[in-house]
Amino acid sequence: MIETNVIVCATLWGVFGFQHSLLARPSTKILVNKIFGCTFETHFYPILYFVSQCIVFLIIYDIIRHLKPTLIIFVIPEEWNYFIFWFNRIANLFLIITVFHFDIGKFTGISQIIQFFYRTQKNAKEVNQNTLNSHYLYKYIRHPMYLGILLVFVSSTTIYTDLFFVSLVSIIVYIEIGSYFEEKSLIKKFGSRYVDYQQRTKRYIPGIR
Amino acid sequence: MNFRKISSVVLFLIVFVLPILIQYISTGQYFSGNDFVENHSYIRNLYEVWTHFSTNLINYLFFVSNPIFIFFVVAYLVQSAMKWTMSDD
Repeated sequence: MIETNVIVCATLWGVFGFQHSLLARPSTKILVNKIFGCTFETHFYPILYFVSQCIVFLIIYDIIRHLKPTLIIFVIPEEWNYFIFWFNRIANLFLIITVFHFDIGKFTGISQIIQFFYRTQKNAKEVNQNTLNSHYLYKYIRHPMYLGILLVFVSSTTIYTDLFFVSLVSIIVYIEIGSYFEEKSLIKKFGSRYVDYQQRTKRYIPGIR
Repeated sequence: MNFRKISSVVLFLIVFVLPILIQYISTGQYFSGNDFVENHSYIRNLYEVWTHFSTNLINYLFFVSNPIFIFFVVAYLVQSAMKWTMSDD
């Protein structure tokens, strides 16, 4: 029989993935535009989306971390702790570096808010325009951030429980689905430039996958 | 130009790498995953999920202390400073 906590854990990841994708979909933005207007959608929706995701992720991850596992599948021997610890710290830095590959102001919605209040020279359309990022880490893989998330998660513990693997599978499934839809909209946006980029660059691991 | 690049790298190191070293020096090897499994995992059923959620709701909603929010705001400030340093010719 499947334990309650396994179901709770998978459901919580599912809820997070569903709302995260739904609120980021272009159709949701069109709906927000229709209801609240273009100004709200351009300048306020991005930061509200960002703040809401910070809150929702914290709620879900905090509950998942407090779930009591039923089964410890394996524990890495203590003599490996030093290696795992530094691997985790390097993975954290890798993840931070991937964040620095894109415009964090635009990603968080801070730039759009500043643009609204201070009316900088850039117009709203310009702030929202994206360029195809294929430099530095993106030259080798298409989703370095997802790889970073997985590496950080896998190395954050040396006690691997049933709930750890449920979370890991949920994250991988979400990343697969998320990146599929993300790439679909990128093809729509950049056309053959993105298809070329897809053909010469692997998804997560350079030269392998 | 080199000086500008170096100062950007130094800023990144101070904000993101130095805290890792300081934490290692002060607490040693710490695994958050192990800590939760050993000391903080107590939820066994849906009722306890609800209790945990309702007890911590105010903390969750106070987004100014949210670690993800803080990380991105700090990252935004650092990136802006780096851009400013690099572009100020």
